[in-house]
Amino acid sequence: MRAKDIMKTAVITAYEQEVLVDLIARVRETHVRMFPVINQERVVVGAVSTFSIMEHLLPAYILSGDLGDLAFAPDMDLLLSSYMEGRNLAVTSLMDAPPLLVNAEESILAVAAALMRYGKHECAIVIDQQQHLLGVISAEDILNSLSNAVEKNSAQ
Amino acid sequence: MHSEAMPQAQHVIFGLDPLWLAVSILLMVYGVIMMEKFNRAVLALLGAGLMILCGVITQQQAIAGVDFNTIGLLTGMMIIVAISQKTGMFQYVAIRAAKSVKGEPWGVLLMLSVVTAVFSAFLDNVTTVLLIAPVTLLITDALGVRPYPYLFAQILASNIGGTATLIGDPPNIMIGSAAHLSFTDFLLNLAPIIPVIFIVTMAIVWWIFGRDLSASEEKRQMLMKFNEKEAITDVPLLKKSLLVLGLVIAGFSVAHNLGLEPATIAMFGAALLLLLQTWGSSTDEKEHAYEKIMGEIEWTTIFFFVGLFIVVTGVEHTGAIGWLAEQTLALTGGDFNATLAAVLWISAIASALVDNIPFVATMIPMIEGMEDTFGGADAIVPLWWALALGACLGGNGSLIGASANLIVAGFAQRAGHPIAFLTFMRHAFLLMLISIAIAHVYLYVRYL
Repeated sequence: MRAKDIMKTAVITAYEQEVLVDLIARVRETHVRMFPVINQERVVVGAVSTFSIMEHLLPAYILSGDLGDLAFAPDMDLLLSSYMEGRNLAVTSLMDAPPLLVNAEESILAVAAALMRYGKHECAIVIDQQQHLLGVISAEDILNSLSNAVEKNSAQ
Repeated sequence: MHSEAMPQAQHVIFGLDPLWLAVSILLMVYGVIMMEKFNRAVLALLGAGLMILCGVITQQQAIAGVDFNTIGLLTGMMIIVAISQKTGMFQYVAIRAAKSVKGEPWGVLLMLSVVTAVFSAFLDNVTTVLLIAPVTLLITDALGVRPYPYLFAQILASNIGGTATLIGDPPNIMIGSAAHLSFTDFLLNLAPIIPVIFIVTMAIVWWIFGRDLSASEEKRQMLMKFNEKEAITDVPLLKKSLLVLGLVIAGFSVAHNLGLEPATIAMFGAALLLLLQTWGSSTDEKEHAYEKIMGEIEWTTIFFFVGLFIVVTGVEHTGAIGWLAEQTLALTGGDFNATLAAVLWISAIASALVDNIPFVATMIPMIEGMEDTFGGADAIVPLWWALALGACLGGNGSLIGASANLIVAGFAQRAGHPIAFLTFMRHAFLLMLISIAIAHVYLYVRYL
């Protein structure tokens, strides 16, 4: 089985000219956790995720855990302050680099292995030779295919 | 580190001149340490091994050269701090201090600097800035001010505060141990000038940065929303830590009169706090807690000291350091004032540019070698104060002058506000020279 056989082609994307505030609104609206970032020619230029947004909102000295559980800090005030400062930040400056790109002809095993190695979020972006967006594959898609195969075997 | 008690090593490899061989090993170790490509503890231990393998000193002489008082004091304090920091008391004090001035930006800078200086006087500087710098970044973020002036002042405060006591900075621990100077000796002789240096330094920091600091009322209100009480994570452990810290500091004050070394006090305090920390826990939990704390000791620093003591012992054994002391005395014409000035200023400049620990390790036997010229151990005590002031305050001269400086720079880098080497040095070196000038006047008025 190849990537093209199980990928989702109805993909919710982000555009490179968009800013953080657009992205947060889209997360809320769609409940999607990873967006391929494309340009006007639908070429994939990167990926943004809820993780990369959080990475931007949280300063490194908090991410490092140096301050413990931070129960003493007014958390939502600080997050809001960070959001207000960065809300017009371009999506391109939040992108995961490099994004997890796979070819439509790659085997499911190769895609699964790539997802595990990448580890940052659970979606791979499927592209063609010119890096145009074709679809996405998540770990869930692979597990669903597996379930289908199990059912098929049981039926036989 | 006392050559007079040492027998000669039997055979130096290939019949080489032991003096040149030992000096070559020392310079090679110091040179590679300065390149910062390899771990400094590994280099010091390799140098120590070479001193023995090449026949410059015997294994017995190497062991005798390790100052176990310094090692014990460092290790004991590391254990006490490793346990105490889990209570959140440092964050509590920092936030309380910042709120006490209602979030006024210059007041916050001043208060955080005072907190840093006081903690640095009683704990090691690296631990202090490791705990205070992240809170500072959080506070400056809340205030919406750039963190550089705060971190800059914190670096200066940690090195100034650390100068005040025997346990404030590793060079003082080494000097105190070698010269048999007590905790009280340091308090009576170094601490009085520290507030003066601190005030002058902060006045200049205000002139450079403080005048331009401002924060909106909204941002200041956000700082006031910090709840310092929530920073305390373990009240019973906090009480135990404060009890042991108090006992240890009281112990340092009377140790000399009781004929005890500070290492004994620190190690006893560490063991007591380890015991109290796990009181009532199961055997498994106790073992786990001990292992965890032992893992938090900075073993790299401890082994660096061990290696360094052996390397310096090797050089001292060949007479090279005695020769250097003679040359220094010849240069100053045997004049005590000139020698004191040379020790103070050379220590300051050198400590701004190289690691002050190996520098002080080399200077200690050199100053010991001047005892006879100036009339005995009591007569050279002002030279020890000059070395302590020069080596500790000199750390403020550049970003690489002290480990604490690099720790703060690391935090600044991660927070997206990197501190450039030259930008820091432009102000810091001048401030360091001013602090040394004040120290010089103090030494002159008090001891000469």
